[in-house]
Amino acid sequence: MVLAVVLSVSTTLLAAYGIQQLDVYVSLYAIECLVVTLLFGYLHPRARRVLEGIGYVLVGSFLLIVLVKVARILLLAGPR
Amino acid sequence: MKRSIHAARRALQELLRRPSPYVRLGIALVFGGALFVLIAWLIVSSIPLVAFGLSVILIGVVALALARSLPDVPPEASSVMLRTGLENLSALVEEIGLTAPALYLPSRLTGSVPMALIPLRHNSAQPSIRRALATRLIVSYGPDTQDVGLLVRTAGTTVMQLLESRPGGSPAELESAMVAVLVGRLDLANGLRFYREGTRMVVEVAAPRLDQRDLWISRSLGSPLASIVATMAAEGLDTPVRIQGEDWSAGQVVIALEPLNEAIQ
Repeated sequence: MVLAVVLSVSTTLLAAYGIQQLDVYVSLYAIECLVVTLLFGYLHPRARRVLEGIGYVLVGSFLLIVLVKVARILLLAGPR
Repeated sequence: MKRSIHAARRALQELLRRPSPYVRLGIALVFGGALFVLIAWLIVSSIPLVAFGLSVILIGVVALALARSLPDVPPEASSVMLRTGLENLSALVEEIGLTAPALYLPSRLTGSVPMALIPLRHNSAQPSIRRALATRLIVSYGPDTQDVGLLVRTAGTTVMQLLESRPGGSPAELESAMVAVLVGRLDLANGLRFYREGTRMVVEVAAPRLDQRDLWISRSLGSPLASIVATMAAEGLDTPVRIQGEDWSAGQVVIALEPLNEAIQ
């Protein structure tokens, strides 16, 4: 429930501010997921492992988005 | 890679075999969220809506993860088995007429797992345990012929197996271990505080959900909740512990424990 509320509020706030970059949303979701998993530290071990896996996937997605952006910048800059 | 695919397939089969509400909700959210993402990306072309769809998928995966944390045995069945076991032990102890407060012993003094010793005689002198006791129901714990008692496993004995490692002896470590077990794993309370008060230790349990004090065995072992914390304290401190008292009030129970360092010689 906490995660649902946090995700809903953050998505609504970012949309209200007119954020159009998906990587901003993904990075915020990753942070929220990791924080909530840490706060509820006494989860069942099996559930905790899956939640940590979700966190890793989100962080990996964020890094992938950053790499794509960097590659795009480098390609646009081109060789001098 | 093959092992992870096999583990994922086994987890999916396990989930589908027991379609709990969490599983149905999780599957609905994941598929609904994926469909929403596709529509938002391809048709509406709205990044906030795509992000919203991703968050729905995320919550669906969390719901599926929570489904895996449901207990294998329903709580009602567990309660029935606990009550049955306590009533049997209570009948045995009542037949013998034991009323002496139990001494919770660490595994070092039992040779196996933490257990409780109920002395046959009830006097104010502390039992003097000089060596690890034999793992039998009726044991002799001292030089006197009347130093005989019942060595029994308690709820705390089984609860200790839920811990990944033995708890440390400091109040912070013991509190952390008790919270992890009572609040996290067993959901028997909403919160717990553990602190020293002079020579005794005090455990404050908020909103306890296990109160079976109406049995004869509670006169010796205390309530199941007190029994669990006493066992954990004995194991963490590596010294026998006795329950000094329990104060049950609305929404809270305060358990006083007395470590008996002098009992080890």
